[in-house]
Amino acid sequence: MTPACEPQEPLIIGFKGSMSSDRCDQVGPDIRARLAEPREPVVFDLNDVDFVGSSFLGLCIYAHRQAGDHGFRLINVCPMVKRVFKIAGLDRILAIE
Amino acid sequence: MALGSFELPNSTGTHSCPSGTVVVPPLAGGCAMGADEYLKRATAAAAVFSQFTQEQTDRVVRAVYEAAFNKRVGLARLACEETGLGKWQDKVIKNVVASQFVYDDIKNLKTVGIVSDDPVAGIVEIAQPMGPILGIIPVTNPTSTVIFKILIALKTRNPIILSPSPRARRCSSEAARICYEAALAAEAPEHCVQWLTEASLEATQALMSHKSLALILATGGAGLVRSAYSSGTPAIGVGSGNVPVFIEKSADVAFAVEQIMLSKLFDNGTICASEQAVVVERDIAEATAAEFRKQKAYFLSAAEVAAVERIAFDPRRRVMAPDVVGQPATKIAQIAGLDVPADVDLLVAPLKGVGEQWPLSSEILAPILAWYAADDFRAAVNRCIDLNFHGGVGHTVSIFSNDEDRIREFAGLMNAGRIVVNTPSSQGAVGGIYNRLHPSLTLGCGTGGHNITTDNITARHLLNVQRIARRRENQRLGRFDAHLFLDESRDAAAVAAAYHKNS
Repeated sequence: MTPACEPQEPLIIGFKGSMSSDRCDQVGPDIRARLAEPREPVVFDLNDVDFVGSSFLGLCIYAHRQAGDHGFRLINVCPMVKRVFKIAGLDRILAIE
Repeated sequence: MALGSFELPNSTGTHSCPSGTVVVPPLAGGCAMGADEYLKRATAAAAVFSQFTQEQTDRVVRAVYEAAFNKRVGLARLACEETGLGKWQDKVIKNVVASQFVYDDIKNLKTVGIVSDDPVAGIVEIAQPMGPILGIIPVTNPTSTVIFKILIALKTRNPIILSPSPRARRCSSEAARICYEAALAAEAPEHCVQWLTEASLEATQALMSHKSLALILATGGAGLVRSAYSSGTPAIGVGSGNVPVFIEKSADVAFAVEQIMLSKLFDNGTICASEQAVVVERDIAEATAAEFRKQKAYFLSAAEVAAVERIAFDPRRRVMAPDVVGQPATKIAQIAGLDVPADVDLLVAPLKGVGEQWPLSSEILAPILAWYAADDFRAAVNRCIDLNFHGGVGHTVSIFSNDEDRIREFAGLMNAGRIVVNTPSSQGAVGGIYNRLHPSLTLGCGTGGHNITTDNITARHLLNVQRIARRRENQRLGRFDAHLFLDESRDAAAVAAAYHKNS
């Protein structure tokens, strides 16, 4: 087991294209299952994402809650998507880089 | 006491209009005239004003513009002396914008009677005044805001009551008096302009919620604007700014820096549309910093940033500290205990983030500019979004660029009523100097800034427009079998096809 004082390797999940509700329906269950037992920091890499639907916002909140003290963050967010999180007010609870 | 080229009212706060009638009565024992009395007078003025023709109205407006313009320097000096903010020379320019530029913008606007007639549509629009307006006057732009609000109110035949910031009462009252006397000389209704000689929050709130008040023009701090919205009277308010300026890599760097300096130093940064943070792409960061230094900007070290943060931001109230507002850079440095060259005009604070952890990323109406270098366009725009949403939603953003695609992309991602391009944002947002925005001292910030509009507020916002709607039957509906509406088995496409069928 990794000692608590050492930083854990994050679980990085990359997304591509449009994260519409349909797309979330496809990938969401697997991701939710993977995050059911929090073990490490979680990172969503949105480098190639140009659209996020409400289901994806919900998935981010789920990931944030599940990660808990391990930490959850979004990286490589394009301006269009960043603006969505700002308008939704989620930038106040989610770490967005 | 003579100040500039005119006399102040006497020490009791009383003064007379040319006819000898007391304009604002003396304050007996510190008791200001009650809200009822102000509104009784204003309502009477509104009634008289409602009979004015366009020609009579325009004559009044022209007289007020000329009088205010003629006293632009004295009023600017007085504002500077009383408030201790800004530079009198720049306040002259504000007075010019508020008088000449606003007048030029509204002088040909139809504001009386029929203002449009579309015989084909059968719609005739009739402009009606709204009624008594309460104008809140901020300490940062007192005399110019007084002139501006009086001009747009009188152009629309609305009497106005002005409630100045207590820190700008004398200059605001003087500006109002000058305008009022000119209006009276042009045969405007008595009491068409009134002002609170002993403005207090309680007196202002009593006026705000008075049943006879038609509208509040709330230009001021967040607390006052919130009070206006809470009063139950319709209000046009403003939002706070936190203006990012993005120097995109296609920009002419020297020009951009020169323009930003021109804007940021204007009246020592007291305009809410002034740049608060500069964001540059890494490729041009070094050249941009060198240009800023060349133009008398001083880059603060991390320790110096911390020192300026301590004196420029009030962490308890989470707003800029009043002591630095409108002060020159050298004075701010002195207050912060910094040793900077005597010819420094601007303090630049390199910051790593945006938010409460970085106090100088908030709006500071003084010659202090936050500085960010971003890896690329995408990172720079993200930084601008952070700044825009950190207290400046709906207000103004600025970009220097020669790439039209980048400009449009940037504009679409910002939440701002004004996206000024290759322009000093202080003067650009106000309008009339660098662009064709309506000249205004009240900048709407849309719903993001808790306002009803993103417009630059002007006379057309102070009208009730009535519409005569003449019978122009919808002939397509006349030929349509209306029973189809009652048959829910017909879907939208089927009904639309029947509705639009030509036969």
